[in-house]
Amino acid sequence: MSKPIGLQRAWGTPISIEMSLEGAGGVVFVLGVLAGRVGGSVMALTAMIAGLVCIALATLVLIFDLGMPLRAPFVFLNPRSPMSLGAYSLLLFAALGVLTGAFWVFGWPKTGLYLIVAALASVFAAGVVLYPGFVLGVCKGVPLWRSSLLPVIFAATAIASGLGLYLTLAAILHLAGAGLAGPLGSLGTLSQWTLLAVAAATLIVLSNLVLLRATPTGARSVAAFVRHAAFWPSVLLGVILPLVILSLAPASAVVALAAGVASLLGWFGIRHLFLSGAAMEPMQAMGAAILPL
Amino acid sequence: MRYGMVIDLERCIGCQACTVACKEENRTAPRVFWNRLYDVEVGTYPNVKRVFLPRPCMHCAEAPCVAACPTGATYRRDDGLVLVNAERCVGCKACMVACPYGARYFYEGGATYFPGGSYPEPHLPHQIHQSGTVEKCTYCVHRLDEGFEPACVVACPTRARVFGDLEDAQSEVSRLLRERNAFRIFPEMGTDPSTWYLSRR
Repeated sequence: MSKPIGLQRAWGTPISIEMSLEGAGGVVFVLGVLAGRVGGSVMALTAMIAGLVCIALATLVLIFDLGMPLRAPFVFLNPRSPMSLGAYSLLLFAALGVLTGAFWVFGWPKTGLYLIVAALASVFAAGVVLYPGFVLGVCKGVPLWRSSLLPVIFAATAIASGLGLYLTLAAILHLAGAGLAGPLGSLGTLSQWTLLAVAAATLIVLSNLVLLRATPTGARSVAAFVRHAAFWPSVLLGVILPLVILSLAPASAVVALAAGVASLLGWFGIRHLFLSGAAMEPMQAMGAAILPL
Repeated sequence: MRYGMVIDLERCIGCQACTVACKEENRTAPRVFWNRLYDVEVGTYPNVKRVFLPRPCMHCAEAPCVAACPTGATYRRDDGLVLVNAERCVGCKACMVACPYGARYFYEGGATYFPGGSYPEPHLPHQIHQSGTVEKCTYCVHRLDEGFEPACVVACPTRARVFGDLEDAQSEVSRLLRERNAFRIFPEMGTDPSTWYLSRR
């Protein structure tokens, strides 16, 4: 019997926007901290602010997607839940991230306390980047999410989109005035890192899809994933465009800007597919045709 | 003590009496089915068979919804019932995606079965639903606490559903599990459900 493919509907676009913003925001913030260590003060502050803005937007989207937004503080109440752990990471990252940025805004010395605060902020940023993989990993009814590679996938796609955002910011600073981006804003180097991140994320996502095809339900999940309307636009933006244009003209600010925006949006799209293109196990899919709703 | 339900698929005739009894008892909204009946076609033409698969909540011992809930709103009682404290639910739907059985529903509120009418109007405390929260089958906990069986068990005309204590060797459910070919859905997921099914094979 040919069974219809039932996609999970509980989490949709708002949650994929939230998770994508968290991923890109966490990565771009850590890159900002690293840029600060090698002397690029404008780039460092720009990246940190961009990261914190992404996190703030993600938090707003998350809260307003709740059925009971005013009860949002309750999400800290179950430390055994991956979502609660993510909420802790989000809160601590936001607080320590703002404190790290304050050192740059107010010109406080970047030694001692700063190094501790920035390191802790980076650790919690990593938690924010990784936790969606663990949140989805406990969902046993969705074959696409049962992979042990899921946290790695979310980390790799966050790095690809975060580097895209960082490259975009560096390109804008280059267009605004030479030298503003500092050593970690070198477009040639950044382009190479972005190429590497895009290639690695593509390889990891592709490996997961190939491994998933080994079982019948897995194969149905892969079919649902690649047939989703967002699949080819995301692949074009996130994979093909950055790989082609950065290979052709890696040091051009305009090209870097285009590649950065494409990578950011494309990998947001691919992360969106992991939610909206995720098929349920057949039980739910079969049920869809049974009771008239 | 561990409450559980055994559903004999050979007896189920797909009449939906359980679905309606659940709706009547719990006053659930349109598009919310705490008890759902799946109509499954098994086999390949010409060797096919139609099977009805009723699906209440599985009240799993290792419930993924309990592990996923960030607020502790979903919890497991000592008697094995997995319940939701609506006062604590934030409506994040983490439990909905965590449940492999699709047994959880988000209640948006407002919908009625009759345009301009009020049904499902609540008459009893357990029939009041909080919009913006997630809800599910409770095995009719309000009835169990009063010494009655779940509404779906009482309503089933073919006695396909049997309810009782899975840990009591003398109970009807334990006897059926010993004597018949019993199985659970998605056992490989390690959820240890309390809802069992019986089949001929």
